[in-house]
Amino acid sequence: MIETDAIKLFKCLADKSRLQILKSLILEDMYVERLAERLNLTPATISFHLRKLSEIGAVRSYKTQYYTMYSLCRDTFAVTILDILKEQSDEAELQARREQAYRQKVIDSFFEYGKLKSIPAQRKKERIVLEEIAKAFEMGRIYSEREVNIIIADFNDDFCTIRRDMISENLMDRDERGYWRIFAG
Amino acid sequence: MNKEQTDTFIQYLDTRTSAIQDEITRLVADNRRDEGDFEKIRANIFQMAKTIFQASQKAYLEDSESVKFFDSRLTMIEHTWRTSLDKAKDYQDDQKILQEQVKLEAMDEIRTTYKRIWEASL
Repeated sequence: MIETDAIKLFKCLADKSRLQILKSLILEDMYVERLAERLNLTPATISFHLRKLSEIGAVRSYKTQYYTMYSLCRDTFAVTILDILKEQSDEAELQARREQAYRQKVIDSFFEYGKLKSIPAQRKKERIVLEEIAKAFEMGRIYSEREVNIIIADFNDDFCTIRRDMISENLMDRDERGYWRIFAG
Repeated sequence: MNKEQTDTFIQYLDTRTSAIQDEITRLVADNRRDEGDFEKIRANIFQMAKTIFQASQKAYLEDSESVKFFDSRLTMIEHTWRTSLDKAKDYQDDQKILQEQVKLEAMDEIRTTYKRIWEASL
């Protein structure tokens, strides 16, 4: 389901009468007058709501000998909200570009000729800086503490703080064998 | 124009407008905003009727003339809405159908009350 359809669906469902109609139709197919009687609404009001529900693919109609019957489109409701959230957003690319621009701005502000000028006070900015330093470590290789310190010292003299922060930010991990990078970005 | 009848009718229009506004508030609170929007249309019709009625009072001193003017205006408007309703039905425009039905219902109610008050003049 594309984002605009999802928005239409949520908007349409945010109405008590329409939800009541759907709750009736989940029991069995019904015609306008019967729904009107059940929900104590006029047939014209029911028709209006059914049109809205039909536009988002929530209900469909079919003709019988005497009535136009309405039924629930179960496929539409088989989609979970998680499925909708996982769907690639029209905005996703734009958001990614904005994020990248912000990231670059932080890197440009805190690094000069490859050296970290200072450790950012803001956690969000520090994370970006630490991720940048983490890229100096190869994935899958175990480093001794000395090796880690030397690599970090190329960026900043305060290698103890940076090393500890990289562990607490889950960019690196350690055990008795040494340190290794876990940040894949 | 007979002041007592006039006051009764104006009071009726105001009371109905106020009751519909309460109903709008209730519907919105009950998450039925679309139905609330249709009630807004209904409230507008009562307000419109009040405006036309007050204009008819200003335009004519004679009770019978004023009553006829008001009645003719409502007839004219009602005719337009009926035409619009028929057209909406032709095109199966459910939203427009409901809008026109609400307007005609309100108009019917207003005219019934109006006729009851000024029965002798019509």
